[in-house]
Amino acid sequence: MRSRPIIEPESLYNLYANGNKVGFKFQVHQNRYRNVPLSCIEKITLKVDGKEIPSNMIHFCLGYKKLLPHEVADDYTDYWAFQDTVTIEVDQLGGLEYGEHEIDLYMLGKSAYISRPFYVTDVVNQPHTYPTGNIGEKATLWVMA
Amino acid sequence: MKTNYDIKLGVSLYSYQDNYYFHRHDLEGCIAAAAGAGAEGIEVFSDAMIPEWPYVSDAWIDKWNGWMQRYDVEPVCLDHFSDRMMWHDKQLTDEEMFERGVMYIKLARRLGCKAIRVLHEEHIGPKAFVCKLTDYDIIARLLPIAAENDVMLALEVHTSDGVGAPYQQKYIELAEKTGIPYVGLQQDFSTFSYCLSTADIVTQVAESGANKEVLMAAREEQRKAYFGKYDFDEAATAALIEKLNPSDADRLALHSILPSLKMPAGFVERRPFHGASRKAADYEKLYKDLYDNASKLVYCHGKFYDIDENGQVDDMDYPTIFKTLIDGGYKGYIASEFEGNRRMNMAGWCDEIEYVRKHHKLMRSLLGRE
Repeated sequence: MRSRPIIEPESLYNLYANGNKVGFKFQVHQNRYRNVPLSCIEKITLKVDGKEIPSNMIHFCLGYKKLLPHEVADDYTDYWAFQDTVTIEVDQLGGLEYGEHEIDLYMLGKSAYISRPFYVTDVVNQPHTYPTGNIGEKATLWVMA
Repeated sequence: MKTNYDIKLGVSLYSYQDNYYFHRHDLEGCIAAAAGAGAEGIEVFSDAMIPEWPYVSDAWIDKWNGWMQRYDVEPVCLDHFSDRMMWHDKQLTDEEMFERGVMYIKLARRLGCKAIRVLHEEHIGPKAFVCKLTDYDIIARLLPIAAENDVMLALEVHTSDGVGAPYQQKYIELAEKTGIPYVGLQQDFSTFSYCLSTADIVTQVAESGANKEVLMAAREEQRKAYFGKYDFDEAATAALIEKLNPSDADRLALHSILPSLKMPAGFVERRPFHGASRKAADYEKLYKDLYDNASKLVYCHGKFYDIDENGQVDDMDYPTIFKTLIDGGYKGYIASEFEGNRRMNMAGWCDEIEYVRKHHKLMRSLLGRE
């Protein structure tokens, strides 16, 4: 584990279209030591200020790709590079109010090769689903614009 | 800096993973750091540090070759992974695993690497994984492809019973039986770890608030047993630790070496440290097996987690390992593989570049080069 925050500080911005706030975005680091195949990311959930964001409003953006959470695991060819960030975009008319917001992001990821039942003790005996690479944390971020 | 020594020194770029992750050094910076430590060989941390992975262009290969020339180093090895579980809804078939193996071999050839580090099925022991990795049958199929491309399949051995174990020896027999000498064993020095590393202690203190003195006391008993050439008395050490009034965090931190220590409620069993149950005679056998196989080894990982105030690796007996390799006739690369970064970086920045420099200084001195 690295002491670095998974959610990039000062990366929270509102999204604008035609002068209106239509959502917000922030950047996320992965916490593995290798590239993560996108297909290994099996679940993404997000709460902002304690409120669950519906899955169909969340977008996982990597390069030119903009994927819904359930589409990420169905991407069989791309990797989340070790040192790169992905951008999480959220559709939300009106965006976020200026000020601090609590971001609670959870990604359930599994290792592509080294999954061992003893590695994550709370899910022993569930081969193929144990989350050796949970990517997520809570962070309080200030809306930058 | 190129040399004509039988034993050459390299660096696995895995050693610089935090520098790369935190954008302090790009790939060229990592290669420069390795050259600066005195390395002449570079092991490529494949997917993590090749930006175009897995579809690498010729233009990028040109850039790579330029770095090799600029820093007067040579490509040695490409890290292979057995990502059978890279898809969420199905495991890769043996055919697909074979195809990925071919991909690594061909990329190694394009990079100029003479070997790929293979994560084979038994690399940390038989049936250690939930999924099957690159097993004997797949290796046998890859062997002619490796020969065609002049790339050695270096099977990395991390196991507590080392390269002499029959389930590792079968791969040497495969090369002999087929007459295709393109598969061999790679010794990772972690096999010879005889005590809890101070890198782990740093982590436990930072992460769980464990008491450093308690953990060091247990480690000291392991060290005394190893250097005194007697069997580590786990029960006596657990009793000694009980007298120090260990906290729950201390107990949890020591479980891997002291399984008989009472654990807090709700504790879930974990894998023991492989040195916990090893006897003095086991170490003798490990070194004998290393000696007997040294001339057949195709690569070595100079694994280390921490370096002590005397410049020695804190949990492995490098002087004995090196002497055994030299006496046994090892010819090939020993690549620094620093893994303390992943253990100590919870406690703050870990200076990987300085660690690798110290490690190379130690290795050079053990080879009589300074």
